[in-house]
Amino acid sequence: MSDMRLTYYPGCTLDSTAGEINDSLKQVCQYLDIDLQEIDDWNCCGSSSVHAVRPQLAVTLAARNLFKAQKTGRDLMVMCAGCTNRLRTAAHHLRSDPTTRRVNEQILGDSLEAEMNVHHLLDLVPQRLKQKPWNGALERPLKKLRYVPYYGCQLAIPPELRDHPRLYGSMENVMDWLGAEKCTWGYTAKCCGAFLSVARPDIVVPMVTDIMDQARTAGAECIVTACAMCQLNLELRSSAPENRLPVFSIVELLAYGLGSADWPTWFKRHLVDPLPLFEKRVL
Amino acid sequence: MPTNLAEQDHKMIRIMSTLKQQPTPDGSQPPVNRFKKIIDHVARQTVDRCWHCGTCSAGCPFVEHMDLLPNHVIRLVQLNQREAALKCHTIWICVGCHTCSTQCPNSIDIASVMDALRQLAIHDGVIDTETDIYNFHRYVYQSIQKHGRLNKLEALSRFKLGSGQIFSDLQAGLKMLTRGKLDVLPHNIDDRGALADIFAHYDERRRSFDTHE
Repeated sequence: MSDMRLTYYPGCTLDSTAGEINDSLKQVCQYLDIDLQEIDDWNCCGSSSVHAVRPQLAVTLAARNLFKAQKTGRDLMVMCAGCTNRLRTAAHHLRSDPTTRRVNEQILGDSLEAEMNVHHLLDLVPQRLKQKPWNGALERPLKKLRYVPYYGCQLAIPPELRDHPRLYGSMENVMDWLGAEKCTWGYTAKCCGAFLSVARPDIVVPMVTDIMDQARTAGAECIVTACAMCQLNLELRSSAPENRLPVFSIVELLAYGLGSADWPTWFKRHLVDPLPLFEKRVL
Repeated sequence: MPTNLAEQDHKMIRIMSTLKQQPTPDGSQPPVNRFKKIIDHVARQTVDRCWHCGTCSAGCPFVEHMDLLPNHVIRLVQLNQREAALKCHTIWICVGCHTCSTQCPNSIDIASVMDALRQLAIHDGVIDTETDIYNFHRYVYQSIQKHGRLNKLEALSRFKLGSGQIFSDLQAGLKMLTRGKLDVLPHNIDDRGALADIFAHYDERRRSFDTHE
């Protein structure tokens, strides 16, 4: 039996727009012997628009998921950066604020009792790749593919969550293991424009174009992200089409490196086709 | 419309020059500091900790599109200027990226303060400063209320129809559809009763989005 057994919360984006991240993540977990059990009948974590206009309601939406997750007796694992933030914030409020606790117990008829941690996948994977037998499990190296790591903003830690581990450096650890070569740049944690991409593209297009330009200037052939929304905005909103670099999710590349054969189906869903780069540099 | 620091400063100076006199706490007056207390409570912050170093404003990736700097908004909350704070564009331009919150030397989660201000702006019916952003939030919110999970195609289509810009972004939308990035059918959760209870609880306390239709 696996020594790492976790409850899994996919979130709306991985469940729809970013299905390729969901698939590759599940394969990564299979290769690394991480047992995932999806939360039964989960709902939206209260991200972006809900907490933007009604923060307490967002906590209750997240609380419903947390209450369900604790029933399994396992820790919770999340890949989406926004969901991680919302679920951690809700758990913190439920534990530290008596009013929030009382109101949520009253609405949902349940309470947060278990000592349950909310992990991001990148909290766990770099450590696992150093252990036997996975330290030697690299099937297909990335052959010094030049990349810039892009964490985006949602993996930034607001003051009240300061006890949680920072993730900066974790993607680089994974990419080192895969044999890729990092290019240095200053945009690692810059915001991609988030949902303003829809409501105010006039603001987001110059921001994303600037990010793409900086990645090129740094000498990168591609951008590696940990957030599905970043990936979509970067692919969609750069003004000059010839300027667009392919954007990968860290779990797609890790699944490829571990030997998964399904990567062509994931790459087909990208808005900037990464196949030419992959054929030229990696295959 | 991009603005610059001088314009933002001038606007703040104009607001400051017309500040209403603070009522004195003699019992008959409305309680002093009420607005600040509400924001502190909803955001779970203490805005009085801000000493206006301006770090938040210097680091904000959206600052050039704001009419007031983030710390100007904090100042208006400190001074209980409800109207001025709620009708600025800044609270809607903020996406909650937490860049400011992680950099604040006094650990104020400014993004949470912006969340609280948006909630109060909707409560007060001050929703026409950034109509497109307000509508985007409304459609996403309503999709989650209906299904329990966000159906992007539904929210985006309603946004596009409502904003009257049906043809802008059509290419991007089609590209997403053909790559399987927009599910046509919503993913409904099973226990919609629990979902309805959650929304009903908060609708009783705050005015819902629907009262502004």
